[in-house]
Amino acid sequence: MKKSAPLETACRQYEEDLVLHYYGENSDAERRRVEEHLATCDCCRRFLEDLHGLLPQMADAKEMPQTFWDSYYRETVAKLAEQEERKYWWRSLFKPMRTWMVPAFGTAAVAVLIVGLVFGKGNLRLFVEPRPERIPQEILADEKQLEFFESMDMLEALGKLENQDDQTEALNSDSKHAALPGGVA
Amino acid sequence: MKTRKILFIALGLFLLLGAQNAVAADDGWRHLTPTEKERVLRNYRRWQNLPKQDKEHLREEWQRWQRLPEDRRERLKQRYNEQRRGRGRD
Repeated sequence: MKKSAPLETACRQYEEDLVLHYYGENSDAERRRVEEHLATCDCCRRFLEDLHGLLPQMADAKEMPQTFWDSYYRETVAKLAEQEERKYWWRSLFKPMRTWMVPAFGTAAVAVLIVGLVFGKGNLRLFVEPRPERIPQEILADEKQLEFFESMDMLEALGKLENQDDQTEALNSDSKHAALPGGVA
Repeated sequence: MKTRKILFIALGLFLLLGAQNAVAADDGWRHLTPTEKERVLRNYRRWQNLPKQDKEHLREEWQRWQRLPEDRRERLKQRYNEQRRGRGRD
């Protein structure tokens, strides 16, 4: 690449006007004022010449090598694929399933259902008979809840039961000691 | 992406466990005798009308009961049933 010389220094107050002059974007009055100044100022004239040499180079599009475009293409394709995958992310859950697996699983599920219905005849009441009483959902929330309501009476008497149990244990232990040879009566 | 998958699986497991619990409770209910069912429903109705401090006390007793050793629980349960039968005869 050709090494360009640094820009000639222009008069400070004309620097901006000279750039606009180069692009032809200043008013007629400004243009006339700049041209009058250029006729008398060498520095500004050289600055303008430098602009003529330098600015077109800056506007030139840089030619990219083929490898850049190849890599650019690959990256774009990968990004599009990623975007597509993000859109249908749930499909990836079924990816490991092969085509034959879906009917196979369906058949297995039907077989399990039939076996369950045949051998679980005793429990068919669940499907056949509607539940006669309305059971509050709070009881059936989980197994522990049911157990809790079932043993609520006992829980109310738990302290008393424990005392009685402790007393019985103590009595049993005393009688065992008494029965032992040399035990305290 | 990965986080969303993990959340999806966790939610599935949570629902599965919840359903399993509900099915177990339903199964437990079906295997109760009519008298036991009646007792559960009676206790539930009584529970609803209990004052707050009694409810808390019962919950604490329940927690304590669950922490008791298995043999002790069996003994206490047996004792309670004997006493109840005795009261029934009186």
